[in-house]
Amino acid sequence: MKNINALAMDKNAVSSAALPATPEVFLVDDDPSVRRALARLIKSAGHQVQTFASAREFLATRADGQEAACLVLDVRMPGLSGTDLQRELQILNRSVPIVFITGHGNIPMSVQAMKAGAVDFLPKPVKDTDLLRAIEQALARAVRDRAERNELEDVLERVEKLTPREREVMVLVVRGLLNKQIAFELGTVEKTIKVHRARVMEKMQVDSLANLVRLAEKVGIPAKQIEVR
Amino acid sequence: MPQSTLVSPYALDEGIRRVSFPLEHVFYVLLVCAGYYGGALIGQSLKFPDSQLSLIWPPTAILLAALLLAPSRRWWVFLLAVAPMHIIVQLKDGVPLPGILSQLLGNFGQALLAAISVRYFVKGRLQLDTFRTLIIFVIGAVILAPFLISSIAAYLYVLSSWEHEYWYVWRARVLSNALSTLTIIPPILMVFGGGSAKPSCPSRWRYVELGLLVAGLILAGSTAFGNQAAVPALLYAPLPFLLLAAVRFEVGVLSLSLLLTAYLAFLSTSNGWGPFATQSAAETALSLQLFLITVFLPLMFLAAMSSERRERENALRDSEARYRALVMASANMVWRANAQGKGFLVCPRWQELTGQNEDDANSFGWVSALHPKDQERSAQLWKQAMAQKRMYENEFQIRTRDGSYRYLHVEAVPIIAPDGAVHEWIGAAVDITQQKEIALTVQRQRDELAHVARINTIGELSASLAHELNQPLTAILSNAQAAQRFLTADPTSLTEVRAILQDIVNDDNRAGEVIRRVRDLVRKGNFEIAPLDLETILRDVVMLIHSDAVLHNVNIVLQVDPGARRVYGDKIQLQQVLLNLLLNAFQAMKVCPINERQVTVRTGPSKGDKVMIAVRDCGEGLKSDQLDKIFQPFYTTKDNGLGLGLAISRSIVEAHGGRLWAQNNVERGATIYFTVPLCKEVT
Repeated sequence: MKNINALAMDKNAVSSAALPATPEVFLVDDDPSVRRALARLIKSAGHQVQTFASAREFLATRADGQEAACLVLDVRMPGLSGTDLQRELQILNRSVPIVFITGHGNIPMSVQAMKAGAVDFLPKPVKDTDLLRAIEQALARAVRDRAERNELEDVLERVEKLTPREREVMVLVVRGLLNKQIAFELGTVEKTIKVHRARVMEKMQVDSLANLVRLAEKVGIPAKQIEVR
Repeated sequence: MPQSTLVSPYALDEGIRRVSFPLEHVFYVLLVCAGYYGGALIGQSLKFPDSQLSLIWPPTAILLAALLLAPSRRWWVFLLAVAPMHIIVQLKDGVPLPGILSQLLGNFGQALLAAISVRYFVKGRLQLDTFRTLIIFVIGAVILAPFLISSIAAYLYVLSSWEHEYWYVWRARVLSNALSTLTIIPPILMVFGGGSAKPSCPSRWRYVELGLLVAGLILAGSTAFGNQAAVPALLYAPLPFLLLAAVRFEVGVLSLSLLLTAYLAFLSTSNGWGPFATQSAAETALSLQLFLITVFLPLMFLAAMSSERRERENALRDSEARYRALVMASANMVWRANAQGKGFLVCPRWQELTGQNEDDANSFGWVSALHPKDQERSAQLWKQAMAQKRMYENEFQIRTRDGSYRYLHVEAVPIIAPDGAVHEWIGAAVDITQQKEIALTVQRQRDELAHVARINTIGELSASLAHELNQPLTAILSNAQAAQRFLTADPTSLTEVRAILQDIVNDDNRAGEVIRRVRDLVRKGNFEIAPLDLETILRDVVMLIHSDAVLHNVNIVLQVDPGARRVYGDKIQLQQVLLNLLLNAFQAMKVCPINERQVTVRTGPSKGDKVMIAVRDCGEGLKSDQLDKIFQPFYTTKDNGLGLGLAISRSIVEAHGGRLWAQNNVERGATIYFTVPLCKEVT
């Protein structure tokens, strides 16, 4: 069961990843000429590209925790295959939007990849429009992901500013309890709770209960089934 | 072997003992007794008037002849049988007993000594028709025995007071015995001694020649010895006829001619005619004997040598005829050429096939009868063989007179003279058209099967091959579209576009290469041996299955021995072998962890005229019963395999004169080895 402290720890891990100003496309393909050609095509659409000859190379270079904007990945490669890399990244909690390209994809393979969160699964030879659209989608998802991550980060920062007591009050508020009930739960008077509640609203920078519930949900505080010590 | 009834069983070597009938023995013993007695009578009739000396004394010679012909274990029979004859003759002649005994001892001793000394050196058939036998006979029977025995006998004669003068008796006895032995024994040996190996059937002309010889001898003998004027030069009148006898007839006939001459000389001389009649009877006898011996001896050697030569010539002629028959009867075409490759002697079969006669084939003329594709190579090979004085071996097709072609296998060896120069060349050509056609049919069938198997393999590889082709197509498309975008964005920036176009060209070539490799393997080519670069072949195959290797997560390692790169072989079929072996290796390593799947293709070392190629996997290896089974057709461990790969690979390698075998590695996995012929020529 995750509690708020654990969430705070997670936040630290995410916040250390600084996204570059321009979104980058990472390309992994074992075939040098295909790699070069695809890189050119991606560059022609105005994206920054970094290429890798194998999944292992990508893993090794990105081991410092830097996040990819999106990944264009060949399925069939010697050593670690594209789908293997996808799994590996998930395990490492380094999910990136992935566009797969493959010479001979089959349906089970593509279904598996899509289920695991791939943006698209394109057959080789790949049309420029298809690839670039997929990259755009992936980047958009990356932007969305990043926005979400940023917001989460922001919320977590605000949560961090709360005192333990204020956190307790917030959890109960989100659960939908009235001030009176909260005071009863916490063994204090309604007036004190009112003060805490105002502090929470202020620190969380919300002006309505509905907004507070939305933020709380983002950091994993369920509106109903939450259990309080 | 002669089977004539006249041939004495004794004439044969004791070792080859025949079943002998006692009756036959008795006959021969009686014959010798009669001969001895008759000989004595003849000897007495050949005495010069007023003298005890005979010109010829045959009994001892007849006894010696009998001993020479009989096996030594029967000699005593003859000696015992002849002794009474001797005594009777001598008694009749009024010789005193001591004289009889000493003469008996002398004659027997001489015959025994001569027989022993001759028989010691000559075993088996005894004929005086070779130089060696004759010289043994002359030394043993004509010189040694008379000289030695006469020394003792003369002493005995003098001791028994039968004769008085030692040296006179000695000389008379030696000469008389020598002459008798020379003239009488050869005819006897000729008749009883087991004739020459070949039974002769004399023609009519031979008899005419013999008649002329006898007539000539009588005429010449009478002239030589019968002339009153005693012209010494005429002495040699019989010589041409004696020479004729020596050269044209056997030694026996010569001896008979000599006997005739001696008799004529005796007749004339005892009548007081001729050059020898001028002296006393004793002197006449001695000088006549001496004259006859000195004339006869060389003639006998001449006769022996000429008969020996005749014999050799016959043998040579026979052997030549035999070889000629052999050559004519054999299917081979035999030919001959001189050291310069000219002066061809062509066998009739070649002429029959090609229509070339010896002049046409001479020098390098034979080359024009060859198939145009074989002409230059064959002439070159022949030149090389002549230059190196080494065996010439070649196969070519010839155009026959009816326009069809036949395959010939030709071999020729130089006959080297003692000085190292080539004396001549002897060659043989065999028509191998039929074998060739069978071999070609087998080859065609194998080619077809190999082709089917290749198509099958390519079918199995189709997915990987499509991927292999897809890669450059992907690169080309993306490059082209990138270029379009670059140009749209900035039509003046051409640097990137130039690089792109170069990449497109390269990738297009790469796609072309993939297609070429596939087409090469799918092509239905004829088996064609040509010099090849082993490394190129290996790389081609490795490229072809690169995608399949990736799919199987296999790493292929190539180790090429730079010293053994040029090989002889059929490119497509050698690639097929490698392809099969590599795909098998992939299959064998399916059970291994992904990062341990490695195939090593190693070439070398070269051994003799072959280079070994090893394809080594790290799979689970082969079970002991699989080591042989895997080469059987239709044996497979794959789910959808034909089971022909290894069987075909082996037959391909064997068609290259190489070998293909499997072996388990010491650690893990198995290695398939095969050998292919190295290309030695440096072009």
